[in-house]
Amino acid sequence: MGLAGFLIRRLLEAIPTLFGLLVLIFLIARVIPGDPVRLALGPEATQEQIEAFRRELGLDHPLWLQFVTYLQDLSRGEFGISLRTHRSVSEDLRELVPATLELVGSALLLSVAFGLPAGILSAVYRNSWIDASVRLAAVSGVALPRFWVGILLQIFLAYRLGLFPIIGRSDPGISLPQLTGFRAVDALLVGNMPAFLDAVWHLALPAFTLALPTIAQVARLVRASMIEVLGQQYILVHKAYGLPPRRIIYRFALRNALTSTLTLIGLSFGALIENAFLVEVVFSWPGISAYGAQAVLAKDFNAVVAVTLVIGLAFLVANLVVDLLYGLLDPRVRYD
Amino acid sequence: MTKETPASTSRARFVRRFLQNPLSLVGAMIVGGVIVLALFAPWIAPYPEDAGASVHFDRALQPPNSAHWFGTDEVGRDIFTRVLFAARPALVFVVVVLALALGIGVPTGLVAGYRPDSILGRVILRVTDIFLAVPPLALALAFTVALQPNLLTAMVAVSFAWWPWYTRLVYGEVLRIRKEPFVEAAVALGQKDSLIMLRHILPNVVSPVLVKATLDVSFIILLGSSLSFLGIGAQEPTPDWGAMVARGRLYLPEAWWLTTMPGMAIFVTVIGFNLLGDALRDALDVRQ
Amino acid sequence: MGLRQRLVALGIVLGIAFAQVSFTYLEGQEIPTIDPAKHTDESSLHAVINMYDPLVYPRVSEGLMEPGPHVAESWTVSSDGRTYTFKIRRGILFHDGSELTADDVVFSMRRMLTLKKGFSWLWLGLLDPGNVRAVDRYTVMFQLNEPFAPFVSTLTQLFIVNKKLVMANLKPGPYGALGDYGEAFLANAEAGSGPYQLVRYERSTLLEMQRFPRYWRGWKPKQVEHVYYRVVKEEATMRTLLASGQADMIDQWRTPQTYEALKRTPSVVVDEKPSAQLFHVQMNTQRPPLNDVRVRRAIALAFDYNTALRQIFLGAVQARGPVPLIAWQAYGVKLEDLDKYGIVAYRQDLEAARKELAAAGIRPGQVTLTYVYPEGGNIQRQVGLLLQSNLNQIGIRLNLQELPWARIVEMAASPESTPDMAAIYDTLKYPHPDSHTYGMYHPSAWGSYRTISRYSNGVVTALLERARRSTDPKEQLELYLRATGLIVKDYPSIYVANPLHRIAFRDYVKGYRYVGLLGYDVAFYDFTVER
Repeated sequence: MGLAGFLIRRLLEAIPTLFGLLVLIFLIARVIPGDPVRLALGPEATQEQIEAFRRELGLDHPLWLQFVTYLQDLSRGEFGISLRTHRSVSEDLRELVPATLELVGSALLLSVAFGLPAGILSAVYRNSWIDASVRLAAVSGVALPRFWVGILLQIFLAYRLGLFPIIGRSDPGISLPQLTGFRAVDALLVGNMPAFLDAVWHLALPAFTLALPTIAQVARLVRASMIEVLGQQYILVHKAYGLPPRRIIYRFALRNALTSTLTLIGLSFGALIENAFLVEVVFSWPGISAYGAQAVLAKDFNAVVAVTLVIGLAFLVANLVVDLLYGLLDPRVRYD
Repeated sequence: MTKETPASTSRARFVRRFLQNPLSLVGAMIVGGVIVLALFAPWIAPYPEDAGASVHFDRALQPPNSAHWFGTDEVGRDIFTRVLFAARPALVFVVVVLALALGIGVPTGLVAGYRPDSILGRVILRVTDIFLAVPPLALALAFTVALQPNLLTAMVAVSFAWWPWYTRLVYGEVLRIRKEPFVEAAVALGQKDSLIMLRHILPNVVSPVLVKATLDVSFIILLGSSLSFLGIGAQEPTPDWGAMVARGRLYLPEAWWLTTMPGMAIFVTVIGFNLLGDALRDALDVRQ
Repeated sequence: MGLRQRLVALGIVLGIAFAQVSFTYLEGQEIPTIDPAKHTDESSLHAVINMYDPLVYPRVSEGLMEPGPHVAESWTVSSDGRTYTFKIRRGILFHDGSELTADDVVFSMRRMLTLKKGFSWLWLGLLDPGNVRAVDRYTVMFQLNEPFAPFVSTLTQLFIVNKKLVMANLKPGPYGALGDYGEAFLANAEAGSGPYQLVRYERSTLLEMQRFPRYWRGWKPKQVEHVYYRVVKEEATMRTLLASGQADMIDQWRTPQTYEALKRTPSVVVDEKPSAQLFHVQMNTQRPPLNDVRVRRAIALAFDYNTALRQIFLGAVQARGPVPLIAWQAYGVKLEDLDKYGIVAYRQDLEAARKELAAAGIRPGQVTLTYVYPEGGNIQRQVGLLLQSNLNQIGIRLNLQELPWARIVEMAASPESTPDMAAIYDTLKYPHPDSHTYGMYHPSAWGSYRTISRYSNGVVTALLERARRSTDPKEQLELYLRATGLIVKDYPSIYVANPLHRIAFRDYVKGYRYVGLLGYDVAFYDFTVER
């Protein structure tokens, strides 16, 4: 069937799901008891003010008309006005999405950078103290509530020892042009080393906190799949050819481990985005997840819709990419 | 693995495998400990009234000492007592969420797996896909938009986000089991569908569902405490781990015990359930 | 650019930065808007106060909340109390260099009345856009629909925008020839004449401002030239940044414990003054059994005021009725006068409380009430826990419910959803006793978080209406006092405290003055930095 056909088929399959998601989110957001318009105007608002704003937002139309308008707006990338910020939600998102992506991206990098070696070491030195400590760390890592870990790291590394900034994304004295929206990348692009270091320094704790459970998962997975392969190959080849060079076996095992790891990373992407808000709240990181959480609490439906959609889309894309990569890496999979 | 061997030997095998793993005992002890502490909190806790409407400002914000092992909070309540009592809403949360998620997920999975080409089957699968398109925490949070922020809302929201995973799991299992010869035989013999589902298919689905449920407990606890960290959980004065961590942040970094202790409790409980779940999975020899 | 050139440039930038008097202020909430027709939150108010000029300005330097001349040099009121004529000061320049004239004042008021957001509620129904006119280049006339005694006080919220600049940046919108009335433009830019110009605005992190050299009030040495207004949501972070000197001032919303700790921190000053704020627990007088004054009186008698003031507020003035004490004092009212009108502080008396309940026919355990408080409301939560424990002793069960502020505001809107009891901080909206009497106890104000008590007393209503229409200041005051005395006897709230206003800053910051009106103590123009 081939790669192109596979992609097209998956995309087509995704469309009704996306539509269903849109309906679901619309229903959740709109069919709720209450009146968040009142909040948006400040508690002193008079009835007159409220009516005016409601008309402005089109909330006095019948539900089906609202849904049609909603779809029309979405198709143009229009998410409406946020009740909380009084600005267009797309504008809010444009500022916030890069911040969260930067955080999640860094967390993914850290997951691989720490998890992969840990898992390999653990498998290679199986049943040694290295293995035991990695396994212990892995079991604990998965169990850690992210918000708690973040707070602890903040207290010890940031407050007490002053090694890292306590909150935020950057020092206010440093300004950077908005090229990609990723401060570290932008800093490199304009050759501003102090800004780059500042960005990375601010990223360190939040990204690490977010990555911790994923690092643990990656380590466990890598260890398990390497052991599985090592177990099989070693016995077979040992029987047939005598002791082969270790390197070949490890490369084989590593390849298998990488496949599963990639799958895990892809699946984790969605999980990391949704868990990002706990980290964003603790570290005051100005990202989309914290924005979404606040939108929920403020009943800002336009924002809730937008954030849920963005997360859902990210999740879908991540799954698609994972399936693709899985197929590419594992020749046993055929696209049918 | 379908149960074709006599039940007694497979049960014996399970117990043996379970006990062989040293970590499984640790997990079982932790979980057992948490359950016991939750059940008997009113009798074990040193200051049971502090789990209710009681304030003692004269002993507020004391660090851990011999009278108060985990220190006291900003209105003078004993934190050790409250951490113990908070195990109750946590466990109730887990039980309710699992009950709801299984209650919806298993039957829908059964129906969809047994008749995947029927209209009902297809609708179920499509709806499941839609729900699975969004990560569970985001979906649960979106759901709470419509409701009051309290424990009930959190439970319903998380169940709402969780059931599709069971539908998917059961669906996959049922598809596989349906092809087994003994099921084909039952169909050929003209047995009623509902009977087949109940007698032959359901028992074989129990194992993987049980393992997943146990492994899910830790996720559910983390999800629940995340929601109550944000304010969607048990209300004052009911103790609740996530809420205690959130409220304790105001008094950092000096009064570190307000945040650290409840967080530790979540951590330990989750580890316990993880170890237990892992051990169960290994013992039941089910490949996920 | 070569490396050396880059280093030189960096040096120059740093040099400029160091030569400038820069100031870092930390605020706990985001800055939702910088548009002066839309601001309601404190952070937005700060932005607007610093980048714009209001028509009148509270006399902060004299320690008074009362308004004095600012953009308006002088004003007169007609004998029927409906027409106000303001003379505009000459020579006030907007940041783009053009002069501020009557046209801009008219434009600004009409804009607020038309957009119907922010503080426009002060004038809706009272003033129509057509009745705001520029008589000549420097004279503005406001014709009210009916007399309104506090009118001039409310004009501390009318900030003047640059009409030409806004008109040059209109986008399509629902206001006919006026398009979107500049909403899109002013969401990210400013059109003001105030002491500071906008450099950078990032809603959830930072507002950066630079002084406007041609500001009409002029500049003296050591005044603040560059402002970093940072959003920091972590209590402990704020404290650390101030203690380490990385910030120069933090906001007023920290826990009392934080300020106590900061008092003991070297080089940090904590400014403590009685505030123009009321903390009270409102009781829904329309809902049984709270509709019986004896039940409300019992609840008010059960509360442990001493513990609350000492241990929760860590020192505060006990409230006497709804109007903050310093609001009365600003008008020359003394404590003896308050006593005369029956405006007294409530006291705890559990025995009397039980008797009142019995007289109302309520048995212990019969009544359950819900106490609602906003998310993150730490003080409200602690008061709730204390009240819960107090009410236990007279046999009333209290359930606590933490809700997002959004929810509380929404619940207050309809009679069925209004909560039984709610713990609210109510800051003086404008420097006049009317704010905490008419604004809270006149039936026309029902439906807001301020009127959860849904109180209605014919005599009080009549008194308040007469007071508003009165043109004689002495008579006005007397009417407000009488009305307040009656309100106190009716127990629509448990009046707990006028909390101390606390704020903290480094010891080299001089010129800080709190007078009670929200936002006006953080006008950076008033500070000097004596390092």
